[in-house]
Amino acid sequence: MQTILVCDDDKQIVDAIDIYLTGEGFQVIKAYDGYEALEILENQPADLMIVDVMMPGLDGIRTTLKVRETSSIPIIILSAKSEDTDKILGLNIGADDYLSKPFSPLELVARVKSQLRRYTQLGNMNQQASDQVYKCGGLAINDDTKEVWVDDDPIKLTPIEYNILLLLVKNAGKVFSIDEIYEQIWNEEAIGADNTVAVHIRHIREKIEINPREPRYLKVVWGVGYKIEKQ
Amino acid sequence: MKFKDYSLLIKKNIAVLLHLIFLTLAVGGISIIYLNIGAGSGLSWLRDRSYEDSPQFTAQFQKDLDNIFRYVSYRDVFEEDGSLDLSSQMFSISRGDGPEIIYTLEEVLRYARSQGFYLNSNFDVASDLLVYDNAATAKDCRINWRAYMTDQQITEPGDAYTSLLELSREVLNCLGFYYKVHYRMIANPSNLYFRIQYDDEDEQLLYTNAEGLSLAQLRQLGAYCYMDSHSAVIDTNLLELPSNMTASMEKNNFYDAEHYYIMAAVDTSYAADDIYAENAALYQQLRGRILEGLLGLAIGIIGCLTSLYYLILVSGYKHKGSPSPSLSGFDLVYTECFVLLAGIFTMFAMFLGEKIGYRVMHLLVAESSWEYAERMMSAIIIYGCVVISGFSLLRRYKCRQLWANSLTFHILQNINLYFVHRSFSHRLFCGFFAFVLAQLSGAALFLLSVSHWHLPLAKFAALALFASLLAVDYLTFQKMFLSVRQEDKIADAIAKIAGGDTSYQMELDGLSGKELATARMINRIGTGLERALQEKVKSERLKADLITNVSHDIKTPLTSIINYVDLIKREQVQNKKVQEYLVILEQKSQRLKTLTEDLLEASKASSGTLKLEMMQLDLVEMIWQTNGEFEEKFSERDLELVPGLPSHSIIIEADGRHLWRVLENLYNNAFKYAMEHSRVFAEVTCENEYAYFTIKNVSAHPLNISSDDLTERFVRGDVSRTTEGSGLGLSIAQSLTKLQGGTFEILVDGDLYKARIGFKIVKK
Repeated sequence: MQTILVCDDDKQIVDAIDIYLTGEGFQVIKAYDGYEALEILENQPADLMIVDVMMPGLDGIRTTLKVRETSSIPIIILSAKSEDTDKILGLNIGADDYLSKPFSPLELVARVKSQLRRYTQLGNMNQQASDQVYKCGGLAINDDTKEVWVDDDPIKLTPIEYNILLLLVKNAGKVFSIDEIYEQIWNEEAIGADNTVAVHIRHIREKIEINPREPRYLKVVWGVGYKIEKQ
Repeated sequence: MKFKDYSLLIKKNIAVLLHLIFLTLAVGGISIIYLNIGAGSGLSWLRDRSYEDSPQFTAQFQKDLDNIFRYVSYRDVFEEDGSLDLSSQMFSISRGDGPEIIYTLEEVLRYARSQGFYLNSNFDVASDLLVYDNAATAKDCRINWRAYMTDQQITEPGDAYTSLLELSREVLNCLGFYYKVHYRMIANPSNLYFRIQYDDEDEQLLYTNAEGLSLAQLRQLGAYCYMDSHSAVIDTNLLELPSNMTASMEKNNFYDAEHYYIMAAVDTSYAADDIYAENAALYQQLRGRILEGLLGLAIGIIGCLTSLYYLILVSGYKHKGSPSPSLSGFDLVYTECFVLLAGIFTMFAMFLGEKIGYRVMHLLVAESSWEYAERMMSAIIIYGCVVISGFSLLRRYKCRQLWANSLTFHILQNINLYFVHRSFSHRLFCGFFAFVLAQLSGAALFLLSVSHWHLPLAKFAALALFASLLAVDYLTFQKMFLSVRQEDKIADAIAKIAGGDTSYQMELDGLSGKELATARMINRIGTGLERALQEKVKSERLKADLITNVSHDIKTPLTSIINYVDLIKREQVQNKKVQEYLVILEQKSQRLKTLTEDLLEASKASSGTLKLEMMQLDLVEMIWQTNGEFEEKFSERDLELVPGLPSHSIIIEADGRHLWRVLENLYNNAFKYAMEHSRVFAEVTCENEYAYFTIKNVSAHPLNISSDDLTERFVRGDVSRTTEGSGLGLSIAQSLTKLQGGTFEILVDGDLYKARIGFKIVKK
């Protein structure tokens, strides 16, 4: 059983997270400020830590820094601050994920699972990798079997969706415009483009992203096109 | 009262007394010098250390030489064998056709005596007869010859006729000259020795009073003068040569002697008791007295200046150690009035001096010195008045009241006071009027002076007027130039402040008057603007901070609410009502979440604290992307999205993420407020330089608010506010669009709702 340390000064939030995570079969250790969390971690190893930023005593950022000195466990920051700069700061100082309040409990559980898989099964994909496997972060595509995984969960895609995703993953980091995608996938010249490609992209995003509004893999470059973030 | 308080007063009085004493000394010195030496010779006596070197001696020597030459020319006329010969013939006259009558000296003398003429003790011709008879003065004698005037040439017919009286007076006069030399130098011992000799082949003429003395001995006597016909050089030890000497020598050479010489010497031991001895003694005495006078004058002047200097230093201080000088009495009168009064007082004093002082002085001083004494008295009166009034002016100067207490200053101040409370235009008008008046009157006076050019005063006045007119013009120009320069500075400052540099402060150096006041006000405006701007920025930031903090504080409890509502839902409560309530709770908590997020965004967008990442993007592609995002959502409410997009791309410059937010809000609005089963039009058009995106839909509810109100915060299409939404969507969209440099319009036409955003096209 995997152990998760939840640290937040709001007792009700900790309790709620506890209920969700326990329901998913995790063991939860609760802490209510940074010092307590560090103390617990010294005595009891945890597999993942969820930490709030704004806490009395040691805040989430400094707690993360302290933990990173000794441990490499996944850390998810949970914060009421939703600014880009806050997220960038959190991720830069060593957190693996950043979730702003108020969050969806299901999203949190999904992200926890994702991080744990990445942490515990890191490198597993390499073993089963063949020539036809394309990877991008937690996203993996096996072109031989036409299978797609996100954080080891298999994903079902339509052939067009699969082809679009494959095109983007193969050229990770490159931005494709709607016309380019259309021409590549349908093998036809785009005459008076419509929203077909955009709709497909949206569908792909809904399938592979935990939160489609804040995509991790398939990103929209507004007014230019789409791309898979190189990771 | 202590002595200390009086000590300065006493010192001052002593100084005044000393000044008076020294003044008296100086005046006395001047008087001694002036009265003794007389005007003219100046201080030359300082150089002439002995009488022989003095001008007086030269004058006497000259006079005597002249007399000697006369003696030389008359001796042979009057003398026979060394003594006066009364029978020698003097002149010959004829009366009418009558015979020639020759008069001897004796006859002439007798006739002269009968007419009242005689020689006085100085051998000058004198007369005791008051009335001459006509016979004596009748010019009826024709002169044939005159023994004493051999070289007389008659040039006019009338010259040959004269009266017997006139002739006898001539003879008497000549005799006088003869006697002068004969008695003073030959018959009596004299300090002046002379030796005149004409040498001829057969004859030798000698005129001398120094028979036994050789030329060398004569030279030894002291002052001498020797002239020889063989030499062009005059041998002398005198400072100044007697004039006419050579000419007179030549003139008296009656017999054309080949060689002649003159030797004149003065015995500087003054052994003989004659006029030279007398003058020498007097000269020495005078010299002593002049030295005394000079000494007195020097001491007097030095003393006067010293005491005056001391008085200047202490003038105005009441007692020793007074911190500042003080004024009293007539020092308090206006400066100009005082000067005028001082002038009147001086004239009055002069008048009194003339009327009373002169009379008193006449009692005390000899008449010969009256003129000098009168002048001296006037000078002293003027000096006294000037010094007294000068000290008053000095005290004013020390108290800085010379200008401050002048009538001009007061008048100027009053004029200034008058103008300070007038408008600038009024001042300008008055100033210009005065300027024109001054120019015109100056020009008129100038012309008047020029028309009277021949008067010396008019010339001076014309030049002065011309110069002052030029000066006034130049000063006016300079003032105007300076003023314009100052105005330029002010304009620069205003331009800077208007350009946004609100912290700019003008330099006040070199500004004056109205410009200075304006500059001060500009600086105050600048400071005020700067402060207002800072306050505004601060308050905006505070507001944004407040909203951010409040949002964060709301978010944490909201998290719990959302989580627990979700947890309750999982509990599978069977009660239908509870499930209904849970739905409401979930909806409202979600709405609260949206609201806080929108609020945060709206505050950021309107305060402009958002960071923009401007880039070139294709608006058409962007709309396609957005349509893709929303198509399925729209179909939920059976809304048909009708795109109206050009086939070519339109590149604009915007921040993609923020523009997406704008479009998202507009599409969401359409989704929320459009009538079900209707169509939503999304179009991109180009007009001029601008690309416009328009979204049109038919509202489900009547739009009873104006388009302007729609973009206000917390205003929603349905006044009842039953639908979800924060009421911030359009406000955020508008703020973000404007932030990116775009235009944002809402048009409401009945139930037709139209939103339009425009951006400048970079390229098509």
